[in-house]
Amino acid sequence: MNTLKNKENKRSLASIFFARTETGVLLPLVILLVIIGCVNSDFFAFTNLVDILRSSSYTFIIAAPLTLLMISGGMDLSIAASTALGCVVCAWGLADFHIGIFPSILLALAAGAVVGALKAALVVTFNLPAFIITLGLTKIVNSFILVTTDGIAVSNLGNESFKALGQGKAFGMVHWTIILAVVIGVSMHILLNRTKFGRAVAACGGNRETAKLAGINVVKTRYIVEIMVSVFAAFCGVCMCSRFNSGQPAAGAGTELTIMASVIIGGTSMMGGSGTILGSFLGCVLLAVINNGLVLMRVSTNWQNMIFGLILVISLFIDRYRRAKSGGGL
Amino acid sequence: MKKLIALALTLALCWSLAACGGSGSDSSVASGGSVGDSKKISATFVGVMQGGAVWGQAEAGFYAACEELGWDGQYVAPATPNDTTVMVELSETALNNGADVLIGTYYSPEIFGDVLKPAFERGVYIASTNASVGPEYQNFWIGTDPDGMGVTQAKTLVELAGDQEVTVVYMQTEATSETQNQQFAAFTKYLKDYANITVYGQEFCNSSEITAAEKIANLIKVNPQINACVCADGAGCIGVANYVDENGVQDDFISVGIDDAADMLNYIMSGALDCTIAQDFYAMGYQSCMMIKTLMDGGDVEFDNDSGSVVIKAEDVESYAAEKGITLS
Amino acid sequence: MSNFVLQMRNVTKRFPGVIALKDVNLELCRGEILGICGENGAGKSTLMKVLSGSYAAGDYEGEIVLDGSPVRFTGVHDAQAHGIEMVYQEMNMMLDASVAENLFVGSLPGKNGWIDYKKLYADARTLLERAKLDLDPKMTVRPLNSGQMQLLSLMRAVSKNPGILVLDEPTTALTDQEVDTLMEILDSLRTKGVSCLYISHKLEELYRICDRALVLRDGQTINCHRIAEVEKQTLIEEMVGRKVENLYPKDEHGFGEEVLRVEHLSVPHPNIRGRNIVEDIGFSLRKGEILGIGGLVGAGRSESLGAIFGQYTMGVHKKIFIDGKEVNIRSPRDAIRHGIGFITEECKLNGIIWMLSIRENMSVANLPKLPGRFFIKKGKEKKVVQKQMTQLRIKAPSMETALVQLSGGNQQKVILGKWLMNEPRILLVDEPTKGIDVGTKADFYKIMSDLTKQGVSIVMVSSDMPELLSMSDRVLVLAGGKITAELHRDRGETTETAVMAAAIGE
Repeated sequence: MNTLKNKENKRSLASIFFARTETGVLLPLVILLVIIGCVNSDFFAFTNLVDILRSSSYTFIIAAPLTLLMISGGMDLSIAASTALGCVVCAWGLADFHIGIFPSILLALAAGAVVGALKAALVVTFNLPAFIITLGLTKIVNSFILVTTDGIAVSNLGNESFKALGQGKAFGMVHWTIILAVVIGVSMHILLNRTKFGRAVAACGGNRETAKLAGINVVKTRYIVEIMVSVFAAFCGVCMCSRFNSGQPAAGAGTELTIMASVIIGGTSMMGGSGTILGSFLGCVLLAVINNGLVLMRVSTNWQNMIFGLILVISLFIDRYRRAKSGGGL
Repeated sequence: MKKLIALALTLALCWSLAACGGSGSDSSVASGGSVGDSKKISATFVGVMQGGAVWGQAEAGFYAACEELGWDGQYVAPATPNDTTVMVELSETALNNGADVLIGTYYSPEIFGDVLKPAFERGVYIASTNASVGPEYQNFWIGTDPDGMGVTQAKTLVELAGDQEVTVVYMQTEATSETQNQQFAAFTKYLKDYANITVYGQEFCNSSEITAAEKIANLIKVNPQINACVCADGAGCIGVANYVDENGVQDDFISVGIDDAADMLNYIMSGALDCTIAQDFYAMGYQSCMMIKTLMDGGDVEFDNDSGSVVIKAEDVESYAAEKGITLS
Repeated sequence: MSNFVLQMRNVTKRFPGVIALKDVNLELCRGEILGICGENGAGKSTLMKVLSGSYAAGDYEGEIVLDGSPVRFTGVHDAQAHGIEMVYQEMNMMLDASVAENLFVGSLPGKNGWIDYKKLYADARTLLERAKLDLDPKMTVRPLNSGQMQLLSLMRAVSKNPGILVLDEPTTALTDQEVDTLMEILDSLRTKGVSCLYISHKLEELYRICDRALVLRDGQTINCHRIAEVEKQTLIEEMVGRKVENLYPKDEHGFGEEVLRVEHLSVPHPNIRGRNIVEDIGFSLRKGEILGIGGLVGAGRSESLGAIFGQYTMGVHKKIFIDGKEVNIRSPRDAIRHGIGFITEECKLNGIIWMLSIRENMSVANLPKLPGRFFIKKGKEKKVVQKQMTQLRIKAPSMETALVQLSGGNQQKVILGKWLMNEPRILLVDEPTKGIDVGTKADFYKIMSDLTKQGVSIVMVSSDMPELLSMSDRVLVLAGGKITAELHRDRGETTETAVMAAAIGE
């Protein structure tokens, strides 16, 4: 009798484990941590862990709002372009317009908002396919940056205190960007799970017609999410601007797919409707751990991309298995 | 509302097209000393990337020469830097549209030979920058060839290293960047004779500052003996400098950058970079046109032409910047 | 024994934690139509999946015997190779392919990889004539209505000359004329010796076409009757396993003031440009009244409700008065603000959000009314949802269960609960019991009656004639874009013949 009860308990524990959205990413992450830790125990050194978090923080600052966007049924390839725009515009503010740190940051965020609003107008109001529209916007924004900067970094920011954002550490231990990423992540989590707005976002992605019939202002909700993503991407650019003390026209180039991948690995449905911020965070950490760990395991550079690709594929397999186990549909 | 936005977007599109067309016509007017008489010579420069600190200079030199010579010049480049396929296609397009002069970074007969050879035989003037395919495909080349660049990087490192034990990482764009691979081969070969210098290997930063900074930091965690980095990628060089700067290892770490953008010069001033190797890209763009003009007028030019590269160290920065008109902080 | 084309012996199918089928036995003679009835969740779909090869041999216990010899299907293809064809409730149509291609998908005529279009269109024409569908085989399927598509998917199965044809709720989307055509086709197949399994909720149809009826309940075979020898009431009782006292608990009570008046309502046709599906109609609704709207599928009933609710706005003209005051409803938000709720027909399309939980689905229409300005107070939210779940008797492990995992009837109840949470004064209901089982239906009728007693007014669109007639206090019939009849229950005008006559425009 007793053993039977135990067995049932165990099964329910396993099913609870598999019911969590984050399992798909957590499992490979844990396995990877164990393997890397066995090969090189330096991996767990405090400074290395901080480095991993710092590396994830840049992607997560974008991935967190992007999770909301993808839950609402959208996607965005133009995040990397917004990052570069934010980076360059912030540098202009400091180096060319001399308007001080905060106005410069606000200017960069405003630039992001403009891109976001344009994107939202095309994708939401005109109902054009997001994939092509955001690809087109990427090209437009990149070209705008090239035209205005000639592809040359905007340097001579002439503001030492601005460096603190990207280079400085809170209490001399962890970088400010990590703290910011955590704050952003927690706010996004609360926004998604505890507020009426978050509920509306999930409804938009789950079934747009239902959401509309339920009296949700679908257009407004989607506009807000689209703009939010671009603004945070621009903010990521601001952080990069501060870190490299210059406006790099190619900042963040090529990161759009990795960031989207980390959101999807984190369990967010590509069809919209479901996903968690924690999952996306773990997705970002997983990618950072791969990049960091493979070097620490002395894996030859030529092999790294193959292992990277394999881990992406495996984590999606685990996610599929998990969904089948927990009985959830898509 | 929808209609208004649609109208605004259309207007924006028209405006931007008009602006592009406008700037095009401006330059042709400026260069138009000989509008109306014979057909203008059409010249195309196939660059490695759009804009950028160095290729932007090559572009500027090229346009300056075209204006001077009254040519109809156009600079084109792939959207993704070093995209060989697109560079081949751009060259083909230029030739099919009747280019009389073609300049580009052509480094391999296997890749570019089929396109260049027939054109060259038909009398199109072909020059290459920073590399060459061979005399049967082109008139001449100008620049720093990959082998020469690799050797310059190696020599610079040897000088900076002195007697100390050095383990060096070679930071380049991608594993598939062929010119950089060639540079690396020459770099390694030269360093074989120096027992105190160990080449750790190539690393790739995909032209991302953050990737470069993280790569070098992680490598040093596992291989603490690494104490030098030579960069073949501009963004990678900023990333490495950022690592040095943040960790305060200016005195213990040898870093050799590439190119001469203002932010790199600033890093040299602060000690985060020991020096940078600048190539004269303006000369590549400008001189190649001038030399083709010489050929057209019946003169002769050498096949190999070194446009030269400069190693800029902290003490040279100010004079170099003044000469080039670069503002430093 | 081989006069049975098909025997299923002691079929048992287990899912983790649930037994979906338990020792089910089924026998089908040549040229016989066997009706299969049962509540939702009785195991009909599972049984069909076993037969169609969706669950391969080995996934279940028991055996399938065709013409006396046992068979083991490895998959759907294998079952089709043995002459078993299914017509599913969901029509799997390639919307942008032609009618002919849809009919012959998987068996296009021609050889060496080339399609013989001449033969394809000729064959398609023959099939279309048989189905009395006046369609060009070359046109795409997209503009067709769901009834036409349903007939197409039937003909697709018929074109393969099956030995056994399995139909799953084939008439849900059909008009009465189309149902007649369907019955004729089945009848002619029967005379040709084709056997048929006919799954349906509608007992009238079983009586009309079937030879025998098999009752399933809770995954078990309850009984098998010759249809001529059994009473309707007996079948219903066997299906639900309890006596259904009164399916339509209509109690009489007086009506209050007029709460809603619609004037000059015109709605553009969803598929035809420049034509209105409903032209300048108007009606009023009193407090505590159920106003039924009858008519054929495609008469514009659902579109009218959508237009009133603000779902469709393009090209819609309307004047809406609530409590005698004119209101402007430009979006569902406005409608909800004025106390209107809307339970849509295609609950799977417009009503629910699959991936979200019961709790989230319910509160989604009530976000503005939930306590708190910006943040949601989860404790209070749970309390409200729990209240609805108990009141509506929603069967689910918890309120965190995702909607995907619920049965159709329970999903429909969640939608109802979602609107009731808002405490609407006016409820627009579109085909509320389409495709749900008898037990849940009864629950629904009870709830609707209770609501009217509390003073809620209901506009109900229904194609289910008994439901329309017995639940409505007044019935409007729509046909040809106009209201062709207004029938009052208290005057004894609400009869089946009166509604039908008005619907077909006589």
